[in-house]
Amino acid sequence: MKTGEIALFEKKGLFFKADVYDSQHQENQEETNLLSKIDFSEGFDFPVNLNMEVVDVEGNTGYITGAYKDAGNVREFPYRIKVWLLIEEEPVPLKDRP
Amino acid sequence: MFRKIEKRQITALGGDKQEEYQSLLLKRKLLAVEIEIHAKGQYETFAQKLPFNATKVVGIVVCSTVSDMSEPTVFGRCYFGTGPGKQSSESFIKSLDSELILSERTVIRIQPNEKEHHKDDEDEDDDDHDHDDWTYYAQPKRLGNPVIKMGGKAVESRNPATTSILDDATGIREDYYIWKSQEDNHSEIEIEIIQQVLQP
Repeated sequence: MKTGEIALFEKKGLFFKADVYDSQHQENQEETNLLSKIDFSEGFDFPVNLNMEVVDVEGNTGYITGAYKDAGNVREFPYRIKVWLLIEEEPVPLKDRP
Repeated sequence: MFRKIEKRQITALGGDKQEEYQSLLLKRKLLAVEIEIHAKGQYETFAQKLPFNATKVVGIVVCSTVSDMSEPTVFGRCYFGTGPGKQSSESFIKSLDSELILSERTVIRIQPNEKEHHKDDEDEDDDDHDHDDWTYYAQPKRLGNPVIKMGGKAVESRNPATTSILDDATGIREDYYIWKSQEDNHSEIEIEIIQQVLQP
């Protein structure tokens, strides 16, 4: 069920827009994966069911703002929208290994 | 925090075409923003401050959780526990543990001799057992006869006793069916109740 639409903005304007669907079960799975199954040895590989949208937005803009509009399909309120932002920090140079 | 070491090309020398690389430790982390929607058609805005050392936003996941925030449907309150034989008074049933019936299947665990019961109730006890080893389960009569399994075995659930019970939490008084185990129990027992009729 589509619950609404979301749009995310950075300083230069809109960079992400999507329909949002009820994903209760999926979210629980995602949170479990995010919090308990992080395997540093696999680098940035995320579990397949994360459905992460890849973006490439400057992170030194201070804020990411967003807007969500309910689509009118939900009968029971309140409900919750959670947005995860994957942030990349300043790279740290390492000494070359032999 | 997600970490990764990546080699990036930093120079390319023209003469002998030798390339140089630098190893960089890349770090990524997740930030979560959460909003609540309370009404049809609601328009909600939000802002997330980025960390001072953030250089990029590289991924987005959006989740919507509708059903787990809504109030669950309550079909009634059930009472369960152990006590002496032939108990069916309202005061005895209300002295037992209780739980809301929220779905077709309810699983409860009962410890024998957990509670002291009213003396008045014990006076009504029959002669065969005066110890607290019988297992009781009571639920609203309007839900009919459920399938009751005690310790994995289905028990006879026809012809239960009936008592009017006031639910102190809701102020609603209604008739309850009361079932008692056919054998006395001396150890913890798991009871599974599967409703045949579900109506709030």
